[in-house]
Amino acid sequence: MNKKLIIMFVLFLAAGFNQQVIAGELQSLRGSVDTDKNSKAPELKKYSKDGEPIARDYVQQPPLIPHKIKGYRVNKNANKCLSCHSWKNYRESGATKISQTHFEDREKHVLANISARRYFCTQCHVPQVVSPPLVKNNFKPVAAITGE
Amino acid sequence: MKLTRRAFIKSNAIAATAAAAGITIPGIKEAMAKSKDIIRWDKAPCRFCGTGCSVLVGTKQGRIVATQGDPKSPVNRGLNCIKGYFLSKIMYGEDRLTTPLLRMTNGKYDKEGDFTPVSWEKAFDVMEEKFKAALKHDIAANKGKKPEEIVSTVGMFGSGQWTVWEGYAASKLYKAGFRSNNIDPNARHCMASAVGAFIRGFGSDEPMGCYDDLEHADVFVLWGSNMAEMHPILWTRLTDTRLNKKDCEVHVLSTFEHRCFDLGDNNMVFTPQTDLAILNYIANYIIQNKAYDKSFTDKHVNFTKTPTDIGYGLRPEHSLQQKAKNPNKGKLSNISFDEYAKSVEPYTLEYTAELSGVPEENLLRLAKVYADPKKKVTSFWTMGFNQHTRGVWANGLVYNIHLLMGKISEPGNSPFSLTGQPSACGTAREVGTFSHRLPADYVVSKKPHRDLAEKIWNLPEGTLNGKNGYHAVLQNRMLKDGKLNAYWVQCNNNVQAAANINEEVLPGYRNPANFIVVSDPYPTVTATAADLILPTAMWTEKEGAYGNAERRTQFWRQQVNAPGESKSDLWQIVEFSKRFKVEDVWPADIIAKKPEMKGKTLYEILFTNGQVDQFPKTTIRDNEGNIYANDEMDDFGFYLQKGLFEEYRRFQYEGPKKGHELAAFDVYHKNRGLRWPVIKGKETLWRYREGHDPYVKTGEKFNFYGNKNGRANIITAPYEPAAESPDEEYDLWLSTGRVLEHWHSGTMTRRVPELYKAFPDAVIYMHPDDAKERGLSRGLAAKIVSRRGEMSARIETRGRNRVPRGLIFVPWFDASRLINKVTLDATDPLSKETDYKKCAVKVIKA
Amino acid sequence: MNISGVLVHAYPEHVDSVGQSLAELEGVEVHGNSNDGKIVVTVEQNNANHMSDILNNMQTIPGVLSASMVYHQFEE
Repeated sequence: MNKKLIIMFVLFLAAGFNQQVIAGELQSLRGSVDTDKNSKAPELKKYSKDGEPIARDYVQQPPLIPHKIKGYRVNKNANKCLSCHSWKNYRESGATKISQTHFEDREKHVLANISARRYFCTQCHVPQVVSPPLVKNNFKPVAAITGE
Repeated sequence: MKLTRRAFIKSNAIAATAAAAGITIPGIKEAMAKSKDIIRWDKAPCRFCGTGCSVLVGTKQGRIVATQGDPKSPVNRGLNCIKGYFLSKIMYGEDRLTTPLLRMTNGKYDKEGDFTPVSWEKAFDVMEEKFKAALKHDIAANKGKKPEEIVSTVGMFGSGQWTVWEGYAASKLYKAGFRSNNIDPNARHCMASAVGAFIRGFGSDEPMGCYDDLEHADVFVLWGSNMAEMHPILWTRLTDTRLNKKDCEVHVLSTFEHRCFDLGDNNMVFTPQTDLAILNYIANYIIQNKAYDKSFTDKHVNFTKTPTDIGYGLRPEHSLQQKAKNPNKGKLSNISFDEYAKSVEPYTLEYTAELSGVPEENLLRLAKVYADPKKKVTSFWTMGFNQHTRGVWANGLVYNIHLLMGKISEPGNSPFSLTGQPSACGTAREVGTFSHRLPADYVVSKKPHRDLAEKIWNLPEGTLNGKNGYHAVLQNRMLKDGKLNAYWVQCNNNVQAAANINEEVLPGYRNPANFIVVSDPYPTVTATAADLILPTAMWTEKEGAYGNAERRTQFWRQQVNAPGESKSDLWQIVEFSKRFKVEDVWPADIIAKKPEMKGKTLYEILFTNGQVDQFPKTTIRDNEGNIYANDEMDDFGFYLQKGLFEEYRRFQYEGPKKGHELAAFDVYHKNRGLRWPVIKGKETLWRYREGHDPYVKTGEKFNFYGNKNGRANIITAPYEPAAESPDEEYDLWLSTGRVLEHWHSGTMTRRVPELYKAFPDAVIYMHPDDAKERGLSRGLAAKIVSRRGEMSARIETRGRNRVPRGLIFVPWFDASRLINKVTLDATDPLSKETDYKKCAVKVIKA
Repeated sequence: MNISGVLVHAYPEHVDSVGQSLAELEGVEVHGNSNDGKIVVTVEQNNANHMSDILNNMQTIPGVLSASMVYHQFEE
């Protein structure tokens, strides 16, 4: 495993499958550290401080949390997220209000308050560390495909 | 037509609503069709966990542009977890593999060479040569041997993430074609203990209940299951019930505090391995208080015991194996109720509290809800029970409690084993891709079962190998020992997932005697340890079927094309079978029994056998008229998936075992899945119960028909210590597991930037006092060291997991922080499933 | 801007009258229906009126079995 693993990356051009060969290394997510070796621990990455809402790639995507949530308690007695994001409080706090889709139960009954099945916010909404992606992702939203 | 932003959003609203209604709106559709913004939506089960949520996949010009929860799905009703919402991005990591890569030097295969792009032709040429050499050796070695004695040097490690037909085709190629039972799925690491207990207790695999129990139960007990992170959508249903139903209670047991504790009414942190004692204490409490349902146990239960002191699934020369009195033994023997009662008598409240570290009042409160005949109790468990050196026992002990009370097989009363993988049930278990199984609960070691398979597969009598093959952990040991030489890994990342990587995993992959093929969409640590990598189509780049933890089978259509030269696992298996003639794989005396097979290829024998190829090429459409690709149909010229599925269904109808019936292929493309057994088009929600399960006759009330006498087995088993416990030098327990944001080894989720940034690197969850004692604190680098290896990571003393003193928790998703270099490859001796939750380590400053 | 997609389920025989009543509600547009009584509706609102009120109003229309929100997008 000490030997460097060299491979060729094959680029596919949009017009077809014309191959262009470039020398490179085949790496797992470990990068250049061999699998049997110990990889040094990276620094703990910092979660971003309060910021603007993070852009979404499609409308069905739940909003990401543009701030730290350190110390937030969400348990059966209290929900810290609601203290800013609830319909009651969002204007005052300037936070994004909870989507109306959250006011429905499993049977599609409309509720006066947030549905219990949506109660634990971090099942769908997560904060982000300040870091480049580990691997570039080539996902394209509709607008990028249709050229709008 | 360029739409305004407002009109665009409105169009989306209309399209989504119309899709949810399952209707088309003529006027709107035409207007939308002119728009560049129209997205085609089609259903697919989620690619990740065993919950089996349905999602709607949005495609535009051959690319996935969005995914959302499927409002029509009975499982998730429009919800997804954070991973599910980002399914749209899992296929688009920049480092997708697009061509086969072979290790070469100077244009020739070389185990120490560099990965070089080659054609599929060249890749299969080399693979064929290596497999044929191994098979030639096998034919010579097995000369004159009975089916029960056949050995094999070829093998495969597959997956509970394979589609149903991929698992079926792989199993058929190995078991029927190569006469090798050395095929096992990664579900061995995940579900094998659950399977063992189902078979021992009920004679039939998989849960009796279904997710509807989540709305019916009064009390939920979580045993070693962090549902809040690992089955988030089931957790939303449980939360819904807990917060809305009067007097509903949640009891949580774990070796550390996790997110489920936020909802728990009775939270219990116990010392690792003492779950066995707690389970027995509850049974003892029920008996002491005469709370058990005698009429139920009299009619529907056998009392049995299992051999004890059975070792720890380590190599036979290991001292712990040498010391065991009854290594690997599991044959049940009948006992009386009184003998059973006596066997649990030592587990008093005082003793159990002392051993487990759980306060007496919490244990008592737990025992009381089980013992209350008026409370409907659903118990959930996952890896806490399954990844356990006494996993089959632990699973069985919870059934004991439910059976004593008759709290089983009815809405809300349910012992419920949750699965980890999307098709651990549908593929690994139901198709039987384990080293000892055949489809539909049949096994290789029983001649009548092999006879059935040989009949359905139209094979010469005696073709099938009757000896259990190498299971997951044994495969790695045999690779290292040079007894397994031609090996194919599909749809998993076992170099990251298997325990004791540096001692027992990597050496086998790099053993010069072996040729290792890995099929994967991405360069995983397993792929980079291979000799040949095959680029693989994933998820909705192929047509598929998964079966979830509540017996629900769900289908999806191919939505987009795979990049470059990637091919599905199914294509790879079937195409590779063309390379072998029967003479390459079977001895002359077997071929002589069906001389018409002479000179034929395995492709002809196994796949164009008149059954699998019986459905001609067709155009695949949804009910809105959208047309979908099926690359395998184009390549082979027939509807391969349908042919495999319909042949597989014969196992459910033509053998003596009942209760596994699936509906016909076409049905599943039209609905959101059905829970088997599907009888006369109707799914079954609660098995073994009159009024719910058509196999239970009127007046029987219950019939556990998987067992010949119709009774379920209560199996007594004692507390026995873990394989390795902390001592003076290695003074901490290590438990490993997952986090919400990442799926398994992170191959897909870490390539989604939003998920990566939500939980970028694995950390060491540690009690702040334990950290302090070692000169550590939050954020400092530390090294975890065991007798087997080491790993470096940062210390985390707060956040979602709050561990007690004496234990650390480390997630395993991070390829750069391979915690499985540290873990011990001890398994349950019965299920052969690794215990990833317990070993002894020390933590030092890095 | 606040746009929702609502699926209204009505008795098939009342689909026409329900459709008319729905269209009279402020910000509501009816886009089509199926033979079995499913009606596809969008709702545009300003921030003042509460979505659950609108849904409740829909449910009180004679002939309506249920009204449920399938889609919602909010943009400043």
